[in-house]
Amino acid sequence: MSKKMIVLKSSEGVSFVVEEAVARQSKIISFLVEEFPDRELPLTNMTSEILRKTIEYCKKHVVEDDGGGDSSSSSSGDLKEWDVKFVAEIDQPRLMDLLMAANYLDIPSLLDVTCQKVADTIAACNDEKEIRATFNIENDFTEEEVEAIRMENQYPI
Amino acid sequence: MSEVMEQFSVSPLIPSLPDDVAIDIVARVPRSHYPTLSLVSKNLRKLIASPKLYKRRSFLGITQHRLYAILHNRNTGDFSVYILHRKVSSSGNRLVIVPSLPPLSPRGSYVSVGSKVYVFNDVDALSIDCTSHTVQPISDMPHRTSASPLSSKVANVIDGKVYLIGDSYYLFSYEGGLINAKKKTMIVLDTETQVWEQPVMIKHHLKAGAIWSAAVVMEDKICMRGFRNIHSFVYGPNENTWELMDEVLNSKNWKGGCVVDDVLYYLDCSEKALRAYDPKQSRWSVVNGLEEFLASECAQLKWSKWVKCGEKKMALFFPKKYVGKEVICCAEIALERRQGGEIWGNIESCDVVIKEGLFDMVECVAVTV
Repeated sequence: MSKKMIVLKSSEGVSFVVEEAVARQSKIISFLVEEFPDRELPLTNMTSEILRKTIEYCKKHVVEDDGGGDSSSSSSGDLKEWDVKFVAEIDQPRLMDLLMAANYLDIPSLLDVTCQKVADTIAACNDEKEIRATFNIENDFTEEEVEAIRMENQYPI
Repeated sequence: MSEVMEQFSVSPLIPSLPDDVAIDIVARVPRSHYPTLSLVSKNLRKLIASPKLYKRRSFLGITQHRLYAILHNRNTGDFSVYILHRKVSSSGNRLVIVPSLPPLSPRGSYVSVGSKVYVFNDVDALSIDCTSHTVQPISDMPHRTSASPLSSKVANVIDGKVYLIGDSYYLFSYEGGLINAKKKTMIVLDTETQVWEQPVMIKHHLKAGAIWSAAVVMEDKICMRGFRNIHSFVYGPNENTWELMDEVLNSKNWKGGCVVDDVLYYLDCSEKALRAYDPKQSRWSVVNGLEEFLASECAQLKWSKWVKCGEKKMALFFPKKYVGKEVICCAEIALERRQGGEIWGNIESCDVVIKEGLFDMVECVAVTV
């Protein structure tokens, strides 16, 4: 039996042919496939690079249910390891794009791993300056305010 | 989430991310980094102080153990709540007073349930919310109206219920007259509903006035050890059973001990050993790997207090002489059960946590926030 395929189109207009079961891990795509069967789905806010990454993740995580019983591609321990490697290889700006893709497409497990990776990145920063630089956050404190907070922080919240 | 969005909508918490995603990210950052995060921007500082963040953390199941200590300041006479402040840098952990909490009664008993510390005084009770460091009274403590305070009590928690067992006075008719007699009494608070269970239970078969030196919960039973090992009992609330304590368990004075995974640990100061009691085998063993630490740090301890502070992890508070002064130290110890059932301990940190002033340690509790 041939598997049903669907077509996803990136912001650059590049088409990706994906098994429906793979794409359905996105709750949004799942919904769209039912509403508009046999149509190309344009994902205008997603670059080809990020879409490719997202599909790579979904392919790894798909649980194939074609009556063959337990045909999940990997054990959960292996999957976790794979996830860690998957996000470790992505640089900071692309990680943020991938997180936004997971958020937009509503893929909870991908949102989980990308959020965790960003949280780890924050925790790995040495000070507030490094956090600001990494995430382009503007410093809206005066020096006096920073000093006051430092004093306050001697006591825990 | 819309409320959260409104509050932070002026500029995003993290550029290019929706605020609800940013909150999810900050919730996943270990709390020890929150002081640094609060210096990044005004919005992040607001978020760190917001209860919504802590609700999100508990929703995501991201909670961490935090240690609190109730210390008696010998100079001022105050009993105050201190928090073990974990330092990110190399300067080590230290106990810091929580300025928003009022001084406590000297006769309180303390237990923790989730993110709250419950304080039971003689005639009233209160809870401390450790996410906001605020105090709420718990109304209608059964003994408030009878004007007969519950004294010499022990407080223990099983399945979200706090069992307070102590002495109280009652009027009894005796040979035609009334007499005032002290009886062992148990009162129970359900922390889920914040309601005291009725009726108060009077335990006629237990000797009133007998004081327990230590009480812990093991295998869903409250083990209360009397001074000089007399009047030691085990109470099982599930079947409402009172039993004499197992002789092996009763044979050691495990004051200050704590239970991790249904095994009781305490410091045997005279033998300089961390002893462990496993109720399944009804026997004591010695935790390996701590010989050197205990020999050097715990030579002449007047007291020691253990508290469970994570999965297979304990903290030990103990006094020490440090440059001529009496200070309090805290060591964190990870436990590991090896093949054959041997238990090994590994010192993860050991710091002088309070050095200025003269303090007595009243109690230490661990909460999850």
